[in-house]
Amino acid sequence: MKSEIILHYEDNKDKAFRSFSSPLKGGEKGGSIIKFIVSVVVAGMFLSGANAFVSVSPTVVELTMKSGDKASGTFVVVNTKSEKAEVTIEIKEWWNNQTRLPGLSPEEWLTIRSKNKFKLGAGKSRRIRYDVKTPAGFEGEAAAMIFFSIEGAQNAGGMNLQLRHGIPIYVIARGNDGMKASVKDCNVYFVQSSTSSMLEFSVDLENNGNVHIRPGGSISIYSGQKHIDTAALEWGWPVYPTRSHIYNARVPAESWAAGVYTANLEVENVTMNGEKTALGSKTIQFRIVEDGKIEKIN
Amino acid sequence: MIGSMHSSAKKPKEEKEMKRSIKLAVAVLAVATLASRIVCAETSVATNNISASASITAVNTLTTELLKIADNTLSAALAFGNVSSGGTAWNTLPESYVKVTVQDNSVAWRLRIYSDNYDTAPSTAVYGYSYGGLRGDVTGSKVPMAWLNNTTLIAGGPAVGNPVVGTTNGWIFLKDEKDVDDPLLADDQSFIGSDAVGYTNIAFGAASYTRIVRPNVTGLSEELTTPTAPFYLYTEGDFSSAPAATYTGTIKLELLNQ
Repeated sequence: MKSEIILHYEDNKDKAFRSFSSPLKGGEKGGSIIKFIVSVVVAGMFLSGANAFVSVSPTVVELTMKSGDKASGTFVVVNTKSEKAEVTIEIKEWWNNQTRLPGLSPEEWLTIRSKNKFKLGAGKSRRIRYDVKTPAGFEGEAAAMIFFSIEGAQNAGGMNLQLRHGIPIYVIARGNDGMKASVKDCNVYFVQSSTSSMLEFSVDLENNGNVHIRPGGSISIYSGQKHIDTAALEWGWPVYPTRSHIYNARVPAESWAAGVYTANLEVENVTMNGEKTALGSKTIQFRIVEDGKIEKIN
Repeated sequence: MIGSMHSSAKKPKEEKEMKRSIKLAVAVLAVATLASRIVCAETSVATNNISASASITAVNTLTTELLKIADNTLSAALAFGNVSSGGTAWNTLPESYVKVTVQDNSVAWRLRIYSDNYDTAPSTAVYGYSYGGLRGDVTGSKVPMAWLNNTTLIAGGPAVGNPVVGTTNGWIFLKDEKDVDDPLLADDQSFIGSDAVGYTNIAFGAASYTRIVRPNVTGLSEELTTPTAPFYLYTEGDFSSAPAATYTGTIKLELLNQ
């Protein structure tokens, strides 16, 4: 029996932006008693917590494809509840949602081969196939967030608390030249909450390209010509075009003498496959003063 | 991103404070410190003309427990009970809180919270521009809500407070999925705009760490002692402008891999 259907798409980008001209506050002051009923509708879900969460693997899919390319893969969905549950799948456009840039609707490139609701026995798993086909003239990037959830029973007049799990699918156009970033700012300071003398760099990176990047890199610290240490820029968080993000790097500085230091920052994009592309560099100087404070020089 | 949140025009104090909250959230998201290279990357994509692909094999669990503030026993409901209308704004805690635990070894994740109470965008003439919280069964009635995180249990519950001064008291406005941008405000108050800059995030992390959003601490977020340590999510409601009604709502907690 053929059970494949294309999921319905729920893209709220068109709903969310409309012209309004009315006052902020709605409602009116009224009776002295508010009959307020909030009961956990999904008691089992919230009380037994983990059992209500849909575990999905993989957690991220990142593809690089040319126009007209095809790809397919599978998600494995696990019902961790101790009873049969109904799993709901929803697809949301994510590129425009996160960047405000024009983007492809998921309908134009993504198909999920599954019913959008299906029952799964306790502890059971199901493989959900997805197909990707990039349209002609594809450039830049497309993205969708696939939401998985287990719906709970609704109580009339109750507060429904729902847990959902979102898995992104990114498709980047091969050959794009949109991997660009600039360092908006770079600061250095001692970590306040640390019991030891820990130095932290914060690097504010802006994505100036047209695809998302996952910046990584290093900061080499010198005292004069002497190399003191190298701090790795924490890696992983994607920054979308039009957005910026602060990345940190830490290095222990307990034995560092007072004086002027130079920090050479090298930033690169590091894909999930480990491929690296240089994004830029920046040099700052700072001074550690006698009382353990830091002054940024430039 | 940050620059786009700041434009000109003089605004009333409260609006400025709201903007500040949004800016704060920008910074909160920005302080996400992501470590740990991918521990286990595998290609799970059957390809046909594909050039490159990657995916992460997951360990992901989001655990929530609803507990009573009074005695920390399991609670059957997140309820405010019967509340008197009027009075001081932002002065009511529900009877329960949520104990949250996240285990996620993916390259990056965030946990966001919002309400989802309207099938279609409500009339701004009736409901205004922000709907985060509860919806009454009387047209136009709503109860704004806010949330607050803590790394440890707060005996007796947290002090209530106005999220407009969240950098002092730790409270943040709960957004609704249908929130729209207020044309009188410079910052984008819509749900999508707020989410894009991290305002809906209550926690974020990677395999090696979990940080919870706390606007009233240095750095605007706090790292948990271990990535899978529980943290405590409290909510509050503002009934000062709420008419008599029965209020209900849907609150969504979403673990979003990045």
